[in-house]
Amino acid sequence: MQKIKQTTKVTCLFISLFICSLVYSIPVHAQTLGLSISPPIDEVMIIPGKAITQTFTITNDGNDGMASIYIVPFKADGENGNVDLDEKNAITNSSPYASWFSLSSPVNNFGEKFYMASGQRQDVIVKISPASDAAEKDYYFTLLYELDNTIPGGIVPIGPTNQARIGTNLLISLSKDGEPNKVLNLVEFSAPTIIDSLGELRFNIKIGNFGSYVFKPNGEIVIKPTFGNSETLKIAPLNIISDSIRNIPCLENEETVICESKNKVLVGIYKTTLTVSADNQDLPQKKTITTIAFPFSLIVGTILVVAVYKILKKPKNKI
Amino acid sequence: MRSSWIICFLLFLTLINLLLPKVASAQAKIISPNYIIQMPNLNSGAGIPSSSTYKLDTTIGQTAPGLYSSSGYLVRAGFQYIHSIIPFSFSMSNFLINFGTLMPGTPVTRTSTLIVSSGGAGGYRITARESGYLQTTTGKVIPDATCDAGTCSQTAAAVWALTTTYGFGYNMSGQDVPSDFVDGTYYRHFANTALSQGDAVVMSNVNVGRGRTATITYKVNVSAVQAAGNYQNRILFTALPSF
Repeated sequence: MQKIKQTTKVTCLFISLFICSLVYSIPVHAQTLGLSISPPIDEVMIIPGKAITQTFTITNDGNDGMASIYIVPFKADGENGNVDLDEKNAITNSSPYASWFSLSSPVNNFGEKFYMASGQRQDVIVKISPASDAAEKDYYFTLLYELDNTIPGGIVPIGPTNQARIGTNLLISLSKDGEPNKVLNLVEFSAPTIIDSLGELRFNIKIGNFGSYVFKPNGEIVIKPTFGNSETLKIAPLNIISDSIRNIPCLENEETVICESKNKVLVGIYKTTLTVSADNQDLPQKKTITTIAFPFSLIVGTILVVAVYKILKKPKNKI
Repeated sequence: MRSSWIICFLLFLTLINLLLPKVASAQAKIISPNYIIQMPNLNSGAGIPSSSTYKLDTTIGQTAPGLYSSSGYLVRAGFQYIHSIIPFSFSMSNFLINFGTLMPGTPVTRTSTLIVSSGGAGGYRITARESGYLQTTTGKVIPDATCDAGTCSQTAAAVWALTTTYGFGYNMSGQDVPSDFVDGTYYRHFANTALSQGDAVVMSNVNVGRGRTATITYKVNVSAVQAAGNYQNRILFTALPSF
């Protein structure tokens, strides 16, 4: 009887421990820095003078630290969709866009520090209210979440201390009617004119946006060979912001990939047509290019084999 | 016998629960004075399960004619063509680099591991810059390394192998690192904010990626005339998704 009571007590203890572990266990990391932000991009089209409140979720996946939020204008850097932050014009009370943005959680001012415990998830609530007299066009910003981890007590390091910040991009389009004009420029659609039959048929696509509004190219590449069936590649609908040119890859299973034919052996003439439009709004633009696939390597290989064969078969001079 | 089995089972469950990392889902919200729209697990932060079957399509304000003029806005949050969830997150081990006591002519290295998960199919870029030279509170500095031939900079790596070459620099190895880090002997110095040098790219990829990992190796070497003291600075890493 005594043994059963003891067993019951131990069982209850473990059940309590299990429940406690479910409720209270929090991952702890040693001198680790970890940040995440969601969503990674936010596209807003808004009527000047109207307002919208957006919530971004940030996490601290490393040690405890002091966090702060900033909004910084950006422009395109290069042709791969990278961001060039204009940190000198970060949103402050005196910046031209100060009235466009306000922070209501977790603090009320950009740059104001707040505590982020290890494992903490925090909503950042930003109100976006462009001025009613603002020009109808696009405005691009990055919301930055900066984390300055607490140095463990008693440690006086000789060396650098790392800080990190992570961003999400805000693409804000001001439009009164919600149907802004989008201007797509097909800057480049190219492939090699002559390739080896065992080579790769790859395509380069560069699309420019010389208008005032961001768009996504919508289209496909159709490869028509002399022999065999046509092949279709879908181009990735990446954002092309105004005053920029972007290299456009293809899309396959929700991942961006190099635009290339899947055929391993290519022979003959390949006529390839790109058809693309901006957000399906304007008339599609088309361009056709021609590539000749010639079996250079196969011919060279055959000649080599024949040559070697002939050398080996050549009758040896008798002494 | 049966009780012992139950105890062991509960102990096992408790241990498993303690050891496994906790995963929580996020809710992104759009709030209007009139309504709130919740978007469950919207390309969300670290720790979101990556179910290939999970789908999302989050576009607010374009489905109904006239909604734009009445609501005043249209929002697309997250990349519309990526339906599975890939969070954008950045982490680093050892944010505190401690070289310890430095001996003249004896280089010391320390490493950190950088891990990036890009939420955008357009890829990502990580840049870095230092607040200034490694320096003491009294203003003594360890200069930025210029490598053996004096040719490395904040944007171009070069060989740093001699023990008679002094300074502070770093090497990158692993995935998505700049091509000028040919091998483990190639170093750059950090872009120096105090000298108005712009951030330098330390990792980048034009494609979507999960768990892209690189190692940064910090190296310092001081001469015999280096003044004693605690030399410190701060290095700021910026992780940005492509647009």
